[in-house]
Amino acid sequence: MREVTLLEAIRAAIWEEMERDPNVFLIGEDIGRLGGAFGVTHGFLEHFGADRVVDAPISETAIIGVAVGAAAMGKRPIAEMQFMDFISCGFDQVVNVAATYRYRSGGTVSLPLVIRGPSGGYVGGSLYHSQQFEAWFFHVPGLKVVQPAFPDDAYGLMKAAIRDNNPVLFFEHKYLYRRIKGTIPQASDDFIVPLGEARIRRPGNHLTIVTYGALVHFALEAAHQLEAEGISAEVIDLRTIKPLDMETIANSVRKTSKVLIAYEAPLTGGVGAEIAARIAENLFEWLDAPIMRVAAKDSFVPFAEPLEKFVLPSVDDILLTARQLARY
Amino acid sequence: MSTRVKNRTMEEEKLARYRDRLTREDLLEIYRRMWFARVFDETLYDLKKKGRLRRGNVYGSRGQEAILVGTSYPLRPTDFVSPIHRDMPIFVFKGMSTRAVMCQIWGKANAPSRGKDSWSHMGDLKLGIIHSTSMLGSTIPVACGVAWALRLDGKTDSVIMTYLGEGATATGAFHEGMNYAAVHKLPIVLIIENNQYAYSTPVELEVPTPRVADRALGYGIPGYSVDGNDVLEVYDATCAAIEHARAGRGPSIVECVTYRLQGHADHDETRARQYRPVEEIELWEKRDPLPRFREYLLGTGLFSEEELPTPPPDVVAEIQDAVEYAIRSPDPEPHTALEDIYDESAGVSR
Amino acid sequence: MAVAVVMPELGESIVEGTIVRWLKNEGERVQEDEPIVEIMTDKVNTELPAPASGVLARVLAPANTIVRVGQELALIEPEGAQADRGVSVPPAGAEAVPAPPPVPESAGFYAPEATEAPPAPAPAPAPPEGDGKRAGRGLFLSPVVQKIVREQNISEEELRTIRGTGVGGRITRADIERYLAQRTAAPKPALAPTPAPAPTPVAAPGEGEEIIPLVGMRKAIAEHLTRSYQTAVHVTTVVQVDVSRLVEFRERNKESFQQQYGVRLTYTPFFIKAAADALREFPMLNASLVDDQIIVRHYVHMGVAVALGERGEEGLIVPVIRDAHKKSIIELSQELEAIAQRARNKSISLAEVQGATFTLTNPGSYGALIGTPIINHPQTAILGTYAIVKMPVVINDMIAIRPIMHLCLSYDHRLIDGMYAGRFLQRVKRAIEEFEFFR
Repeated sequence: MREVTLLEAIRAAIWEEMERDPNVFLIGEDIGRLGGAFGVTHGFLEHFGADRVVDAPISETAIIGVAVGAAAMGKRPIAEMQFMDFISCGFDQVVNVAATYRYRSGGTVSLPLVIRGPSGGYVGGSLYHSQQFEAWFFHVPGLKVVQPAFPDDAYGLMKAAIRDNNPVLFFEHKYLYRRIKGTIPQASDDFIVPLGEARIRRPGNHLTIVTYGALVHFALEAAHQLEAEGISAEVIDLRTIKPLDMETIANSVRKTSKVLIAYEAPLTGGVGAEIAARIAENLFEWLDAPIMRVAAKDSFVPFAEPLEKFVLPSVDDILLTARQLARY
Repeated sequence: MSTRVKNRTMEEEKLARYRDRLTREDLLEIYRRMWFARVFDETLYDLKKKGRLRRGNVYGSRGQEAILVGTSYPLRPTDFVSPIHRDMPIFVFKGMSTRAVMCQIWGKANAPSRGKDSWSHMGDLKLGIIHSTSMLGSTIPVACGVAWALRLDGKTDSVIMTYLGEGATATGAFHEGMNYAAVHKLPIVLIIENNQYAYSTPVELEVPTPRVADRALGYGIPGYSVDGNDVLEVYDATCAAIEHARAGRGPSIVECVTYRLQGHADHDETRARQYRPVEEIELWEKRDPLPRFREYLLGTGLFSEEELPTPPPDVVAEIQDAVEYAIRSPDPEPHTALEDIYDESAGVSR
Repeated sequence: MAVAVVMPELGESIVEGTIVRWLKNEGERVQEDEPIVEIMTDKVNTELPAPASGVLARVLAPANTIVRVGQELALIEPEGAQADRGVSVPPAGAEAVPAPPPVPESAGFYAPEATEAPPAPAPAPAPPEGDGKRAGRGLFLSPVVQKIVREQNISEEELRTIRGTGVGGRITRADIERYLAQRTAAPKPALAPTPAPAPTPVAAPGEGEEIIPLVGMRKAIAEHLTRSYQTAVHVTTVVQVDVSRLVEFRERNKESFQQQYGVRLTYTPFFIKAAADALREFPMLNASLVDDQIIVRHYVHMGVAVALGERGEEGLIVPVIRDAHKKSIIELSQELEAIAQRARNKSISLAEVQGATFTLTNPGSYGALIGTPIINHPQTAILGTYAIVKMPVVINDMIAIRPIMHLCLSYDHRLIDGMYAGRFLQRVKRAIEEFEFFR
């Protein structure tokens, strides 16, 4: 076992997969000479060479497009968005080209590609370095969407994403990058976390908190405080947002009958809406309270600290809603 | 309306050396292929009007046959193409069966996309055909990716020929793709079919430079502008661009100046004669590449009239057979609409 | 169009009530404003007037059911229009039946924490006719509870015996599961001598026991006191007051007072006066903590606890004397007697039990010597006046016998620090000891 940060876990996974499979290569802005804006690919260029660690121009469309073309040819490209916010510049390549490729090829072409990068707020990144865009891609068939909250998951999920035969969007929460430490297995263990499996990070009986990303840590902190109040909250870390692990969610709902869905993106049209809808459709008779959501306010992520704090969901927001739900 | 077919420069005269290598059989095959494109086009327009093709648009290539044939003829089986909607015959030229192409057009279960997508949005990477989309220009970055994969595999003698209309050179994807290709000296040959109109918008409103090929200046790469209705001129320029690419010197742009004799698609025939001057259409009718090439061949004295039928009957028979085959072919089962969204044959997803 | 009789919001903390009885039967004609139903709510019984004239077409909430604010209780149809089953709510501004408060959009299904009204569930539509899913009219059952009710064959009568611990007394999944565990555990009667189905109680009463469902005022008191006790951080401080002058004054004047003003002269008005005056100087004790805001009142609405029933067995009510700080001992005496009287014969109006800013309780009336009263949420303090007894006290280093009373102030330590409470008590003590009432 190795003690690493979440960032180092991602780095280790990519490094080991590149060692294991010569088809894996990296493309992105400043990932070679600089080693990535956050240092995820530090030292890769020297080890793997410029053909496998491509310093691309500021061209998200080209970066993702190159990844698509190479993936169609059997490579396993990993395209880095310097910030996930910038994926909007390559949106067409993601949703119209990558997502559809297998479908329009009549199932003859696989597209094993990963688009990864830092996302999320709580770091004063302001509008264009703080966003959580997972819902955009959650909506698109053909894509998979991942956001790990712990180093071991980040490590195992990244390996799974690279080995998966479909386009995977890998959202790395920059607030967690160096804050969260944990152990990961040795490279020789070939440890994988399968895509599409949620993980119960804390069992509980009174209510279920479904969440992912940075909010997993907030939810765990809230659950800890709730315990002192006699409220036992189960915290589910989705880990993979698409495909959704409804089985784990459903089992928990059948146990607690009360659900709180917490996510960092703006409330409206977020991932929580879909989860809530599925629970309402399929688990209605198990509910003992309305399904509740805690999310960012329907705003952008502003710069100034008081503004950012106001917009983004907090431990207190989760606590408040959880208490009300428990009392309902 | 400027047509911008210019006189040859000294530089371009040098290109003519490529055509000299063509044999008599090559010239006959080029002639045959141009007719294949013409009959393909006329057949589908006819069937659409008669209601035998009930779904989807027919995007014609009438008037642009010299480009389809002249650019694709020099390609090797190991090369790649990324055709667009007006390039359907190129699928056949690159090795796909005419029957498969027709099944795609009819949306049949045995079509390359199994009825999922229409018209030109198909491919076969084993044949070197990259699947395109409706987002014109988006194919260039994908072509760069194919080139990158080949580079990683050490296959440096394949070229990727990507097709675009002049209108698509206005997209961001065009710029990002060409810039990337030029920066990394990728073996891309970009064919621009400058048929003067992007749907209804004239080239003046799409491109600010005198020639579309002038786009190449911004990337420091060769840019050819040739008479797109002269199949041998197209062939020459394409060969030069391919040679450049195979030598590892990077991408080129080949602008083929032509004219769309039809509307944007079969639904546009009436309006296409309203947003364009009829005199302009008539002028270009006179420059039809097929009679032009036939006259050229007869002028060489190497061919008899009988050797150059209009159209060659085997071409008609092949297309008729493919149409009948497609119509007979099974429709896809409804539930297959949910297949092929993901590939779970490998990987570690649950 | 039928007009619905809607359960009005009968007070700031009231979320539900119990139908005591219908004064009209289905099919009977009613006049607008004519009382048609008697409702027992938090601390008052009241009659609801008909919102329109017509025929009482349908009673949706029969007697003894618990109804939530905003719930439809009955439908009144215009005469001769019984076939029309449409429902209309009386227009806004119809005083008789205030519409339920709008649920603030941002607050979701509950009101913000610590507002005066406990979180009211968003008014669910009244049960449509023949809707079998809503077991028991007037009872909101969540989907999972409905499912359990169906699977476990729980009757409506049983449901009514289950004490709901959720918002507004809602029966939660935990409640019903607890009930089921008890139901299973309870010994089954050997052989029912008669086939008549009897309502199944929560638990079979043991020998010498009886089970009384917690409903109405008792339930309201239970919930209210629970909330009070769980919300405020209670501390009680006690001072000893020498009431010699007060006792002397009363003894001397009680007959003439009765003759002159028509009411008995009791000690309570003096305590009200002393407390009200002191509250003007110590306004924080007259405040409420709501969310992150402290609402300080510069008026004193004095709640005075009144026990009901000969032995207090009928509960307790807290009528309010408005603007007590402006009133004289005489006015206070008159008002107190009138309002206490109305409370005892249950004819008190809702307005008379709402809006208190401070509460006075007098356990001394039944001889209690000392105690720790519970604050009346969302108020900040409550003053208890205890029994006046003769005690030996030391005055100028000499032992004397004096009538002594204990004043016990319970206050919310979140808002009030010990010294502030102590000074307030000293202020009250001085007013009583120095007899400052007629200055």
